[in-house]
Amino acid sequence: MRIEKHPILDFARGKKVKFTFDGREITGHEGETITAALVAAGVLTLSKSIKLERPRGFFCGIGRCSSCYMVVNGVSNVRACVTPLEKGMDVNTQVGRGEIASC
Amino acid sequence: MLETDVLIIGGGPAGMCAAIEAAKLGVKTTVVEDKDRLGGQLVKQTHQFFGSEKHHAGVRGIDIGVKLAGECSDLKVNALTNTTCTGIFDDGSVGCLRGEEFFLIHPKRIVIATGAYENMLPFPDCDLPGVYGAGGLQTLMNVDGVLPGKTYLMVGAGNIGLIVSYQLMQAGAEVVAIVEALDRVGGYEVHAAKVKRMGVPIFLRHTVTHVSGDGKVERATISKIDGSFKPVPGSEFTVSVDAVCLAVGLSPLIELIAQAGCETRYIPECAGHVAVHDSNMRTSLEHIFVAGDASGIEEASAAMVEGRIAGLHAALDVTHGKADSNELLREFDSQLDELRTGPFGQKARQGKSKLWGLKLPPDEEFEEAPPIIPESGKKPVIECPQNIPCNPCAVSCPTESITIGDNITNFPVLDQGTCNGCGNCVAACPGLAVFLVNRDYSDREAEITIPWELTPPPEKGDKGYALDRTGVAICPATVTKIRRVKKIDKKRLLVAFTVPLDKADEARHFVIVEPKGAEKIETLPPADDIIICRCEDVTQKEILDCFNSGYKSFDEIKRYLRTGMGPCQGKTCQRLILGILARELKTHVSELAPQTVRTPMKPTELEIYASSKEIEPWDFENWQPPGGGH
Amino acid sequence: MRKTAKVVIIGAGCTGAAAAYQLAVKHGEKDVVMVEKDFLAAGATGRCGGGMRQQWSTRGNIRLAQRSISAFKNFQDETGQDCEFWEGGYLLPAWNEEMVEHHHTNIKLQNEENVPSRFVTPEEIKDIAPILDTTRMLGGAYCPTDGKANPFLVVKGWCERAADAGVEINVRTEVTGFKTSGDKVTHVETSRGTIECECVINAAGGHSGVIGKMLGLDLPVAPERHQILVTEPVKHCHDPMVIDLRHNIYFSQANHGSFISGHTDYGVQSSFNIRNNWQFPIQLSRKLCYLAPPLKRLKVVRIWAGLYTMTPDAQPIIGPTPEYPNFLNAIGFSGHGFMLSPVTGTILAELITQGKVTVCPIQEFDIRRFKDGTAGTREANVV
Ligand SMILES: Cc1cc2nc3c(=O)[nH]c(=O)nc-3n(C[C@H](O)[C@H](O)[C@H](O)COP(=O)(O)OP(=O)(O)OC[C@H]3O[C@@H](n4cnc5c(N)ncnc54)[C@H](O)[C@@H]3O)c2cc1C
Ligand SMILES: Cc1cc2nc3c(=O)[nH]c(=O)nc-3n(C[C@H](O)[C@H](O)[C@H](O)COP(=O)(O)OP(=O)(O)OC[C@H]3O[C@@H](n4cnc5c(N)ncnc54)[C@H](O)[C@@H]3O)c2cc1C
Ligand code: SF4
Ligand code: SF4
Ligand code: FES
Repeated sequence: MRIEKHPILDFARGKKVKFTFDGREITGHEGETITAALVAAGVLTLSKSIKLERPRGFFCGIGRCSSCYMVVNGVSNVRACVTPLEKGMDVNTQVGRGEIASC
Repeated sequence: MLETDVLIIGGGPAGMCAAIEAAKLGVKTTVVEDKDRLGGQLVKQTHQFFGSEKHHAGVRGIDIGVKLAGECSDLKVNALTNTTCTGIFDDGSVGCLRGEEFFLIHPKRIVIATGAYENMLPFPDCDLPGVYGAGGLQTLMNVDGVLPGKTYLMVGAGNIGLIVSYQLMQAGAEVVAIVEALDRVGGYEVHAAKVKRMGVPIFLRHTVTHVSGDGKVERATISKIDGSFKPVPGSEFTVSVDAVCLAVGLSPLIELIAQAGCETRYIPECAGHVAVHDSNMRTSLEHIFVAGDASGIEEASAAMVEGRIAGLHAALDVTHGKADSNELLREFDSQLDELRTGPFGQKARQGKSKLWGLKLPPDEEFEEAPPIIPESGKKPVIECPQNIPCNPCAVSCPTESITIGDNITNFPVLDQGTCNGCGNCVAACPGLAVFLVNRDYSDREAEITIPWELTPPPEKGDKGYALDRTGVAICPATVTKIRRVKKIDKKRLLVAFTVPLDKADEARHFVIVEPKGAEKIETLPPADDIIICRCEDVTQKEILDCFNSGYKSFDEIKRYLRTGMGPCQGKTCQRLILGILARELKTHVSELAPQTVRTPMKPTELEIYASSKEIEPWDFENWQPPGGGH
Repeated sequence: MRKTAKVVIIGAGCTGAAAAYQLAVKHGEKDVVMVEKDFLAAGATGRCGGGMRQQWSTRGNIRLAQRSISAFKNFQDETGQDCEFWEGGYLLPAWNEEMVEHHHTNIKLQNEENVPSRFVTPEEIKDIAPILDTTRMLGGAYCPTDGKANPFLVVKGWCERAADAGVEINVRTEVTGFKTSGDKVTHVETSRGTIECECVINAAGGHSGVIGKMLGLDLPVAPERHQILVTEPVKHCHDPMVIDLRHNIYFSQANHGSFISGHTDYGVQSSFNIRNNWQFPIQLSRKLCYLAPPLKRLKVVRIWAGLYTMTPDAQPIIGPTPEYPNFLNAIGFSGHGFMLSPVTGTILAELITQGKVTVCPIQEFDIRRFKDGTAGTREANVV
């Protein structure tokens, strides 16, 4: 959910770009974090935890935990909360451990 | 490799002020900041700060941040943003990660001002999406402009819980309730008052016992707790919420301090383990200083002064004392003394006294001030009952009708005779605690002017309800005037509305639609275990089992269960596990050894290390063991 | 804590734990007290890579390793504790003719001892370990029955069974001195009291020299920092432990998914320092990225260090001290004390309960070898 009107803040948002999340097309703003773009689109589960595969959303928001590990453009363990959104990114929920790029 | 005289790690208020003082002495000063801009916590603080002008009182946190960053750049401070310090090494070099580069800084002196991290509260399903730390949520809401839901339960009625509740409502969300484990509100009464009058109930001696939902938080169960913080059976009730926001305290972020080898000590009044430091902010390692929340949780105002002291001493070391700064240092010391008086500064004063081996100052008793309620005319009503370090009301008054005196924790005093009813004080008070009441508006009506920072604002002529201090609609009200006092605050509105004369002392908020409280819904049973270490999915049961088989320290449990071995390196779970251990061992956390902190503070790609320019590139084709072999 | 015991074991690393288990469970000597200054596996054991291999260059080491591996293989059956034993093999790449030669010589020796090691071509290496860049390798030595285990679980399993059998395990208890009478050590003094005893085992790892000093002995051991790092976990994609003797590095993927890798510091001096330096992650990452390019984007989450306990010939010292025949050392294991620990435990138990050792010849571990010049050749296959 985006905050459109705020009594104190004006949000300077980048230009609108399309990207995919688990194959679905979503629009976000360039330069905002992947997390922000997904949460704005109502996506709260970013990863499934390492052993128990429990759903996890963003948590620390500053790149210091592992709650938001996602697979971005084929690379695992990308922290969505500190990774800026780019046009055409292929973002996927990471389930359990990641994988190294070519195995 | 980068050479510098003074290196400051962390670009929050403490770090920026340290940099400013160091740079003023003409020494080469560098700041490294993990985020993309300087400011630290300030970048998400939309509210006006307390304190005195020296600490930018009455200015919004974000604006203070911008101002200090500007001073840094005017003084040619080398500010490296998007740069994380990942380790401090025994040869004096500091490892930094910036984008795809790992490089070293060689400073003569280091100031560690890394701030704090948020405490987690363990309960069944606390790892579900929808349970957020107040800080993370604040970033999403105030920096990205995004909300992860519409309805919230706030856990914790300290200043952060109260402020973030208000900010959530400013952003258009609904706060269903605030729960607080203690029997009193920990934050400023003025902050509590502003959420209460919007109808948010604060449940004291209550906590969240569990949440549930299908893949995300849908409901939160609240329960009364007894004197030993145990839920009282039968007292629980459940509300429907999209999210639970945890504001259950901050702990000093001392990972670099510990990794560097500074001596640390557990000081409860400083909110955790802190570096042992003297009043010059020097740690047990001569070349390392600390400042701000990293040296004990306080306020931005104290963080700034500590930063100045640390920065100045670090620079004096470099110039070998060639600058007369005694006067300045005395001034900083007295500012800190001032900030550490009153009921809220007391804790910090006690903590620092312990560190400095001073005799503990006695706990003072503080009485609450009765509200100042003028009887006639258009005059301010000041509802500021505590000795908080704050004076914008007095500073903003053009007629000097409000006075606070030299000690900024004094209560404001109003001289009704000289007051002209201009309302500057309403526009200036960061606690939104000053209202104008005009009892002479008409025969039967009084006009109330309230500070307004919500969306959408009402319009002149709007008819609605006046709410009392607890958020209950008490009478119809009509908006008579909307204005701003631009020279004091560009954003805040002053909204005036009329109420029947006999409601003048009760009406404190205006709404168009009458609010209705949160509905209670069916309570579902809690999940039977609690995730304690999120990175490695380790539960409370597993930890207790491990404890019961004889592994009774954090380091042992870590070795067997991998708690704290994940990417967060124990930032979330260490405090919880030490808490469990202390409970089981019937001892205090201060008696338990925290884990050993190791570099890197932030996970670093192999390729980034490999491509570091700090070591000449290697020729694998004609392999020669580096440094003469082994 | 007990006031008397037949045997006092100093140190609860893999060596001390193996000795306790062997004595109490396998050799019927239950009158044993173990003292550990920190907690189980707090020393090198808890910091080590957990690897075990039979690919050695001396017959003695090959035999010891074979016995140990079979002990780890049967660990769960024997102790009831899963030690995460994993037979992923060891691969030692060869980069030049000299190394090819070296491996062929060793493989011949190993095969004579029935170790199924063999020389593999770069193509075979690609099959065994697809993440390796084999373009510059000339092949390598590979043994599929080498592997690894989890050191914590090993120590836990041994100690729990030893405790069941009657051994008293005292953690957070530091040995501070001894009492002697003639050439006999009669008491062990600790931070929690004194224990009268008939026999003492010094299994204090990096600090074993300090224990020796308490008796006025100058044991020929030197602690040396050895740094090691671990990455965030990824799905299983790599089987063997890789030891690259040319580039001085080893790495493997742990059960849990993390890659663990270390090397011997360049120009390291003997000391108790186990803090990390900034050079290590750079140097090690370069080698890892060179050997296994697909790992490039993996993130290092932690770096730590432990002590190798070095002797002049990189071989351990096991057995009695001439000055005090009832004071037994089991020290100086450099980088392979974990894999040797089952045999070490057996040697100690046999010495104490039978006065002689049948499990293997032990002259080469005798401390007197350094004085009388009978010390053998230095083991060549070490990182
Ligand atoms: C909701 C809320 C409301 C508040 N309201 C008030 C108020 O009204 N008045 C008041 O006085 N105070 C207030 N505070 C408190 C105030 O924000 C803090 O006390 C103050 O920001 C502490 O300053 P600091 O510089 O010590 O730390 P921070 O502001 O936390 O800054 C630390 C900085 O260090 C950086 N950092 C950390 N580790 C590293 C690393 N390894 N490498 C590089 N950079 C690193 C972080 O990114 C961060 O930017 C509030 C706090 C919160 C959370
Ligand atoms: C980084 C690294 C990687 C390694 N990788 C491997 C590998 O892959 N394979 C392999 O086989 N080996 C490996 N090793 C070597 C192996 O770890 C050691 O040889 C082995 O663990 C030694 O075990 P120990 O029980 O003799 O000593 P330690 O495990 O060091 O135990 C000694 C114990 O004695 C205790 N102690 C010391 N002083 C006192 C005192 N005064 N009182 C009471 N207690 C005391 C200590 O606290 C400690 O717990 C590695 C070592 C390191 C450092
Ligand atoms: S209303 Fe104006 S004059 Fe009166 S106290 Fe407030 S600021 Fe001063
Ligand atoms: S009334 Fe004055 S002292 Fe009280 S909060 Fe407002 S500005 Fe601060
Ligand atoms: S939410 Fe913690 S790393 Fe992104």
